Amino acid sequence: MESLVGWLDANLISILNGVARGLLLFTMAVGLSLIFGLADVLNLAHGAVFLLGAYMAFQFAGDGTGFVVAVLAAVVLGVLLGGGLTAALRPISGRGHLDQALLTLGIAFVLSDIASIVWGNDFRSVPPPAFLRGSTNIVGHAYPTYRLAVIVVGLAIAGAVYALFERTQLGAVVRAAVEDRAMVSALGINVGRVLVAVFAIGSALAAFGGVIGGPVLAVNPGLDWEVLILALIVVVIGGLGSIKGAFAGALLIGQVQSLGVALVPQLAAFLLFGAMAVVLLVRPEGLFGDVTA
Amino acid sequence: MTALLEVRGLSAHYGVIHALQGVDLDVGGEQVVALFGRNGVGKTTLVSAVMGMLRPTSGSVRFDGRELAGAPPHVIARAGIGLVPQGRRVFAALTVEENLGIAARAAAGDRAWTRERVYDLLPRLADRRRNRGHQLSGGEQQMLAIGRALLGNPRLLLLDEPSDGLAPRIVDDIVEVLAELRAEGIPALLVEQNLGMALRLADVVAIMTKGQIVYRATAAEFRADPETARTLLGVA
Repeated sequence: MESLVGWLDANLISILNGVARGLLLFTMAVGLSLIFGLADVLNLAHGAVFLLGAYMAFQFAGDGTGFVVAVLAAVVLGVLLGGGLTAALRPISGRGHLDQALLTLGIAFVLSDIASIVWGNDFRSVPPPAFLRGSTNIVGHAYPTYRLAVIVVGLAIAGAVYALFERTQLGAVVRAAVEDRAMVSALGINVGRVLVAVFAIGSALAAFGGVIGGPVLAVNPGLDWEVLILALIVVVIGGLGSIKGAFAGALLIGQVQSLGVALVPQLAAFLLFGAMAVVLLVRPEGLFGDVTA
Repeated sequence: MTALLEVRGLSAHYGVIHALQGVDLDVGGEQVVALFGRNGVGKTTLVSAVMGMLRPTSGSVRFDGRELAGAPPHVIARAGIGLVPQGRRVFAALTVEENLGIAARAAAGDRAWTRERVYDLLPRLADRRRNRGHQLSGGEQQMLAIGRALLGNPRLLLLDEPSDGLAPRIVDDIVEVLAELRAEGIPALLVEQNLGMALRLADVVAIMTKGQIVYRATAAEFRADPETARTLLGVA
């Protein structure tokens, strides 16, 4: 017991960093997972949406009000991009996964290039809002206040997403459509409209994740692919179309990248894909994939 | 008199396979039409094509005078056709309440069927309302599929093998429920392999072979003519 407390104390900073990182990943992964589960589309432009959110933080943040402006701008941008992506995908909805993934890949490159033209290729640092600067004392450790805020906001977002999808009628429709889209349609529901809503909500979440992630990440063109790969791993680990899975997978990957790297730095390069390989060996459908199988 | 559902010359393909080859079929009045046929002759394909889940390549599906061929399933459902699909297809991860809620949400206009009324008709579901689809028995799933279809306030039901995989006692329960709906005056197209079960409900019998309807008679005529059943269906 004593030694566990000692271990926790020694690694508290890494663990908290892992939680913050995991929750940021969740905002990104949940949309990716739901869009894949619902539309069978691997949205490779999802990382670019996150990146544009991060640039909104760079553009507008500064003081507290600036941050609010950045959040609003990012959410509006996310909704528009999500709607635009659905519209772009509609004409090729009958084609295979590859065609659709390639279209989103092309859109991702375009968005990434736009970001690079507007904001350049340098690493941009985003200051946290003034009232969240400095550090807070947590059982004897000084911890950046902004990261604590990321954890609190990330948990609130996760709670809200869970409530939306597990406790509302719209959420039930989405979960049903993830299971059997044709059947939902045969019950009189316009699944196309549900798809637009999920794309918009998922993209808005990713853009929001970009804003709150701005001050803790190095914002640069390239961040989009980094977070996209991580989010894809989260989706694979958590199980397609599962919110709980995205949450568990994101927190797991957050810890692997933070605590894991702190504990066994010599294995840092292998931990990420190692964790994915282990999960896939034990549960090929992902941690929360397909409850019925 | 024109029937509520008039299918004329309906064709559909799976790739190059000509699964429906000009189907003509009427369902209407207050009758139950039983559709028989061996495995693979296109019965479920016909149901899918009428429901819009498979796009017909030619032909017409008129419902209450309105052309629905080629319309998406949600439009066809809202026009008043309720589907109880093959394999039941209840949403496994959703509770009974949520399964029914989705159907109720989609239904427009006057609410002849409410969740309460469905629970009255199918009391077994009321006991299980907090359970998820995958926790239900086959019979309960079938009841749920029926209740879900009813919440769309259908004026016509498409029932695709509702007795499939169920124990005889449960099949009796299903027949009882369907008989009640028949008494309510909801016409139905009942696709079945279980002839005995279907004949307890059917007013009219139609038989399909190789993508076409080749026989149509009243249930009484069909019963009196065992030779037809033997040659077209391979049963005694």
